Amino acid sequence: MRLSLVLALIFNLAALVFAGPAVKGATLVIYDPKLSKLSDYDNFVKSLDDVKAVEIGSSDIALFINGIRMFENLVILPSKVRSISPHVGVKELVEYVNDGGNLFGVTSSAGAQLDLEKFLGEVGIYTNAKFKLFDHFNEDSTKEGSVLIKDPEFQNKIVVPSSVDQISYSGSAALLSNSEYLIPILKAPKTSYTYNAAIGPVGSDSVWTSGDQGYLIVSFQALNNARVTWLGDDNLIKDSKYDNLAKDLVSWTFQYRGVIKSVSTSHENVVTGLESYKVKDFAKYEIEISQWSSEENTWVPFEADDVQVEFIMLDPYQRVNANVTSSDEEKTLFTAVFQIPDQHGMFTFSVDYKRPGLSFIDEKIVVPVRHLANDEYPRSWEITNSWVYLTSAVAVIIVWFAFVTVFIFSGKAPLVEDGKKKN
Amino acid sequence: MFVSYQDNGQVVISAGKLRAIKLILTIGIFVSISFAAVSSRLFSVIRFESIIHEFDPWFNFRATKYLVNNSYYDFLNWFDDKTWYPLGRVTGGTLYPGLMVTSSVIHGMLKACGLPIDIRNICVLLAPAFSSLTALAMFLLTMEVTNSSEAIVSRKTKLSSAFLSAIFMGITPGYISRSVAGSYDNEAIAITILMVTFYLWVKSVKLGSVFYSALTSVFYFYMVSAWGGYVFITNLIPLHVFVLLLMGRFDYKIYTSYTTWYILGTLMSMQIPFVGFLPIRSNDHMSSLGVFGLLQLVLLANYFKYTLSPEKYSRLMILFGVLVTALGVAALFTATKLGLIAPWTGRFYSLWDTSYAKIHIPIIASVSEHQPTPWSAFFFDLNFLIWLFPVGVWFCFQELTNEAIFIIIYSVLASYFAGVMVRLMLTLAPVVCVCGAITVGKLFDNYLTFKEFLSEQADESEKPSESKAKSTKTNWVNFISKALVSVSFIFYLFFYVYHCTWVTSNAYSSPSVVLASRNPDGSQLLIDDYREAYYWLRMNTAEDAKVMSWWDYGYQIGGMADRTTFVDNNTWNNTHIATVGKAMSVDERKAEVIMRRLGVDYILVIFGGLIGYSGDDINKFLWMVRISEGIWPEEVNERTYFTDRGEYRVDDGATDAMKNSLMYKLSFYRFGDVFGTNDAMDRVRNQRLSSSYARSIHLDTVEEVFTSENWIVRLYKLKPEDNLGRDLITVGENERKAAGKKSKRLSSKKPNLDVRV
Repeated sequence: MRLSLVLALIFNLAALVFAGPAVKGATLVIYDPKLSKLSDYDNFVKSLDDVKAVEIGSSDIALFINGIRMFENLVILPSKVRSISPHVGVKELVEYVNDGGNLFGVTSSAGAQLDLEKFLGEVGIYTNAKFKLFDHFNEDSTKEGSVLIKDPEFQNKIVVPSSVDQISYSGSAALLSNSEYLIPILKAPKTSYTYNAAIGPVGSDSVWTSGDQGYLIVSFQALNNARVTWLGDDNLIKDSKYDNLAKDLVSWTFQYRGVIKSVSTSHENVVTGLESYKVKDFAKYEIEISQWSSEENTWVPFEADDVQVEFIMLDPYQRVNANVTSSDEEKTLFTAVFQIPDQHGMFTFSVDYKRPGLSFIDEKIVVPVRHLANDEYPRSWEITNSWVYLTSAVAVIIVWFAFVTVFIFSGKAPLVEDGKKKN
Repeated sequence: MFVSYQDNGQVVISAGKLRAIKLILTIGIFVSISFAAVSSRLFSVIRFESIIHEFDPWFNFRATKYLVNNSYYDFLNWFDDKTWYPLGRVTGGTLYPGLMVTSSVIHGMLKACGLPIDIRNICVLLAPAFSSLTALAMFLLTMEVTNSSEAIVSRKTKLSSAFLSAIFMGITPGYISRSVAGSYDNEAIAITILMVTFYLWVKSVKLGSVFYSALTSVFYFYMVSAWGGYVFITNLIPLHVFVLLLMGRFDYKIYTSYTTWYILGTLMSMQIPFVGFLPIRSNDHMSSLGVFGLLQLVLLANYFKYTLSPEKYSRLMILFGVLVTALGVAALFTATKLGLIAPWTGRFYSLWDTSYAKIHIPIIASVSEHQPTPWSAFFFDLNFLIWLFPVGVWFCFQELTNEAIFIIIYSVLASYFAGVMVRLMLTLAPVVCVCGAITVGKLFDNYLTFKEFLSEQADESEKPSESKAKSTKTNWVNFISKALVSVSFIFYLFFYVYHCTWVTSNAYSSPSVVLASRNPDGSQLLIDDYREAYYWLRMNTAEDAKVMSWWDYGYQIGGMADRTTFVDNNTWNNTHIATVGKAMSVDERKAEVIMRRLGVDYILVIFGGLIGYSGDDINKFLWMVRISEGIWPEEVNERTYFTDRGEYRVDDGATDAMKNSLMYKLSFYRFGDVFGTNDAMDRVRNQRLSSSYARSIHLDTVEEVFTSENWIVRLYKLKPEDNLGRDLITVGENERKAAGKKSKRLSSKKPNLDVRV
């Protein structure tokens, strides 16, 4: 009786603790109904899988529960609300990306979520919704305050392979840091600039970006391959004209495209077939790489001709291209054969394949390269230079034997006669 | 039973029985000496446990385990991938294998006998076991030296002198310092071999025997395989021969023994990979080659002396001498210039000029045992023998036999070197024991004989009464003075034993891995932080984790924690050590770059500030600075670590270079927390860090993962690169800034960015 009571209590407590998130799913969309209704984004939201849409500010929003990440993907739409939720701030967003979650952030001239902007600042995308992009040479006549970008050039073809005739842009532009993980997608026109309308167009405090210093769409891939994309104008996802662009950005950000992985790596000594090396041996390094195909919903061989293998001890001693040697249904085999330098030490086989738009591959294997063992040097008679010395050594031995023989058998007769010596 | 009485009261013992008694006594004495030598070395095992001591022994132990678990072939060609990461070390070719081979042979033999003893116990007890052999070798050497001369020691006291030298050697602290149980170092067996080699050399010079000189070279080979100090033999023997030549003592005995020894010994020594071609290239070995050549010339001259007329001979000799000198000097210079023979090494210079190392080679000077010897150390290590030593040398001058000359040369050379470097006290100790034993033996020979007095007392009754009074008086004066000297020397002997035991027990028996301290109530407290931390490393880190620390701890990390190290006590690559030193001396931002390049996972520092352990890294810090300054003088500057007034401060008044250095931060990080709101007190340097300052010491690129019980060992982990590509130091700074105030606004200030490229 008492036991069952205690058990019941424990279960209740457990139920409390593991109450689980109010919202859960592959993709979380956070929107601000005060700015625009969810239905405005219908086009966009329908293209996503397993969506949960939650109004901003709701206390139900939690990215982590008991340390477990609740969503694969996160979309933050423009909002004027300062705080996403009591449980979500910049710190949580950083943790979320560090844990491998993807983030698609949209700001607009109407509003930009504060924590999102701060988070973007952390990865090196500096944007501020108070500043607005203007281009007096390329204004969109149909829409006041919009910049018309004709035949926009997308900087990364892997992230955005499709093209758009023209973009009517109304929003802010971002300054970028020098971070190598940033992938700029769309630059601001050369004749544009961004300024704070509240202060006015003149003055260094007022101007945020000028010319193509500003960026309108920027992607980012963290070291752990988590992806972030920022858009400065929500019209690009609202308007069905830009469906292809939006779809490209979303499918890249949410890891449907541009995803590659190394399936296996191996190395061997060409001569012995073992994984041990000595100086001046030949090594074969192989790496298998697959690419995700969302159309076929499977892994397919990855094709490239710029995969490099390095052989490093403090500095790279070898840096060679790995060639495609074979490929099957799922993966491509890249092989590099090279000679190990005449230097012993702890060497690292390294494939550091980081291309903007593709997942990062960083494979490292440390192997010892030993010196020659005492019996692996050529024997003395194999070296022609030594023949001189060998001959002289043998000659001395022979002459010594001859001398001893003569000395022993020559008898005791004095070599010089006494009479001669006196003279 | 053994004796028979004759009618006149005389006692008669047969010669055979007497010999038997002598033999039993000799054996008994030897057993006692061995017992004394071994047992006085066991303090550390009894107090602590059967553990390998200090630093170098840990490497030797690790190498021995490798040898026992692998074949000799593997050992010889061992490429060690766990040290000097990422350079690795050709360990098989850069060590003296004698010690490891000796213990693995003992291990194998005992196993074959059905006594499977753990290799660790063999390593721990090897040094004590060899010390009793040293005593035996000492006995033989003293016997050999005193044998052919009445003037040095009279015949009847020879044996007691030899025994005295054996017991002196057995327990002298100068030797015990390197051979207590657990001190598994090269010197442990090297001194034994040194004494055996000298004994055999003296014997072969005396006999001119090819057999003994071949034996000498065999032991010389053993010595070469065991210790770098073999160079001492390589120079002492030629010097001995050279002096004999100058004294006109040339004979075929010397010729035979030297040439045999030189040829065989050199050939054999070249078989040790670490030595290789040194015997024909290095200047350390040139004297033996030179004397070898000189001997041939002297032989030739000797031949001419008997075949040519005197004036022709002298003319020839002058011409010959000039020619040889000129050629020799010219050859030496050209060979050095061409790089055929190694240039004079730094270690060589520091032997002649004690301040040389301090100025030019910080890495040599940073080792405490390479420091010049303080005077007190001579008394501390040798006790009353140090003032008997000159007397013994003086006795050797009484009759300049070849052996006596050897002892004289040995004492002169060893005294000089012992004055230069603390650790060369070890080579001085044996000759001091020989000379001391000769002195005491001689003294007792004259003063401890009361036969005369006793027989005169017995005769007294038969003498006339007038002379009786006079002779009784002189007799008694004689007796009292003799007794006084004897008693005082017996007291000195007793005091010697007392002193040696005290020194061994207090100074030389600490494993230094485990520290002993006292609780307030007087009970013993063992401080076991080192092993605690090493065990943590072994259990909690990846097997291929790389640990960066100052080189002192490299061998211990390798031996106890079994983790990869960057630098260790085999200081073969100065640049690599300087790189680690630089990482410790510069600020976090620069250090991070160095550490990432090296591939550091963990950092280990020793910090004694909490309990007052003075051998910590902050006290060694200046060596790191100096060594790295030697390579990067524009980036590291020793002066900047001292305040304007030249003080070495670690408190609030420390210089910026000091406060920002990685080593300082690693040592004092979170130190303030221990003291609550009080000021943090560094008990080693006796400096007070204000509470607020101590708390402001922060680290961004590394995180603390372990701190041992008394804070002696602190372990840090290098954080992985930031996932978002941010600079770890900036992240840390921003966090600290944000911790104070929670800003809910985005700054509308434009960020200050570099031009994007």
